[in-house]
Amino acid sequence: MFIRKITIFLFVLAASSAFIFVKPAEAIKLNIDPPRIEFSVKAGKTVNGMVTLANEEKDTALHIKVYLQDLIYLPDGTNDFVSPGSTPWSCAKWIKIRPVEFELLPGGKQNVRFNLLVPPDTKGGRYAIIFFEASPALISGKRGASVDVNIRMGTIVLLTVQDTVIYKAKLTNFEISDSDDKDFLNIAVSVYNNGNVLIRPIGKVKIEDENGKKIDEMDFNVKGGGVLPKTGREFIVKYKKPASEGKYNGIITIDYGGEVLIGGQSKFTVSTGN
Amino acid sequence: MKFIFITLLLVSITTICLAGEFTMSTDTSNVSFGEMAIGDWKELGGGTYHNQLTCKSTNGKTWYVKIYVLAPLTSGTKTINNSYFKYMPGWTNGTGSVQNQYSFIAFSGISSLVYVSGPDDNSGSDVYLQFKYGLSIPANQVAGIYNTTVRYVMTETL
Repeated sequence: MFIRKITIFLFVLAASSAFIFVKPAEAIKLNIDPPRIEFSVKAGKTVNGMVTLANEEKDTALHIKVYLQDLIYLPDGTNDFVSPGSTPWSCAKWIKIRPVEFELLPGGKQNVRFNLLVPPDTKGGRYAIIFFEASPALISGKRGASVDVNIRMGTIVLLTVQDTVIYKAKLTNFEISDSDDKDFLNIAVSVYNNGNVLIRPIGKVKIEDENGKKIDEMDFNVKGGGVLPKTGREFIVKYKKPASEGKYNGIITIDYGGEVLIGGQSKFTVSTGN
Repeated sequence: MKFIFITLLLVSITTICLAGEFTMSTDTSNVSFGEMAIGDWKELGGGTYHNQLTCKSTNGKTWYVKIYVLAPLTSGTKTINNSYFKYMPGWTNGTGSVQNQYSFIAFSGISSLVYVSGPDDNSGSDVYLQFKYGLSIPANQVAGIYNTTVRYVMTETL
């Protein structure tokens, strides 16, 4: 009995050693396809989706973890990610993924499938991100002081519940003022989304002199940055000051996807020495 | 028989056309500072860089890269504050914007924006982003083997 216990102990030790002392793999290369999936579904229905992961490294096996998070917008226009189900526009809790953890051999591919069950009475737009974390499959535990590097890539899921979408928005601020750079003005535009679906307000800002003559025009939110339902977002556009001093009028027209455009005006003055 | 062959060929071509690329790679997954003494400052990357990310998208949409550290450098119960551990975004061939390019920035547990793609980066070209790292050892730091994980994140915007 004692000998048997020793044998088992040595076997476990040998198996563990194989993981502890393997030289760490170096490079990581992961492809996900697609990085964005859009669904238009009736409430109460289920849709299925799939993301294909490819390990494009020839020598490194990857350990992959798959999980869901919610998205929010940051002031710089990028997204931050929070716990699933923590935002009112989330669909993360309705998504079931399989598999959620696996190893991807060098050059290997794996389909990650998911289904999304839209609860009855759901309205508007819902959003989530499926993250894929990749690290080398075999990592030594005995490498001295060091930092591991791994990567995380995401597939954004955009769900629209058919026949329930309400597009509604208002312009809450439109102001043209001095910026940190004396040669430029800041055009600040704040849009509040009163509807129940993500909007991407785009439009134009026209600059007129005090006689109503158009002197310039520029696009607003060219990249199509979004505003989530029941939230506001400020967009800042830098604008080179008119060469001549005087009084000016800025006029903005915004198309947010609703039936009507929204707009506003902002007066500003350019004076010598500004 | 010939008809069946042609049909299969068409299906195959359709599949190829639909496949997109959204890829990120790093040429090394380890940042090793080796032995350091109290008060030392060590940079990894020399005159060039320590690791290079390669990002690629054929999706036509803006994407970005962020960086964060999962936890402070830790040895047992001892930690080195994130303010002593820094990264420097260096050269890129991309047409987008690099945040704090050529400056050492202290790591944070909150992800920091490194790169936002430009219009020319969204149609399948390889975009290279190079990084250096630096670490200083604070006074009174207890000796130990300190480890942590740095994570790079690549996504499109919602």
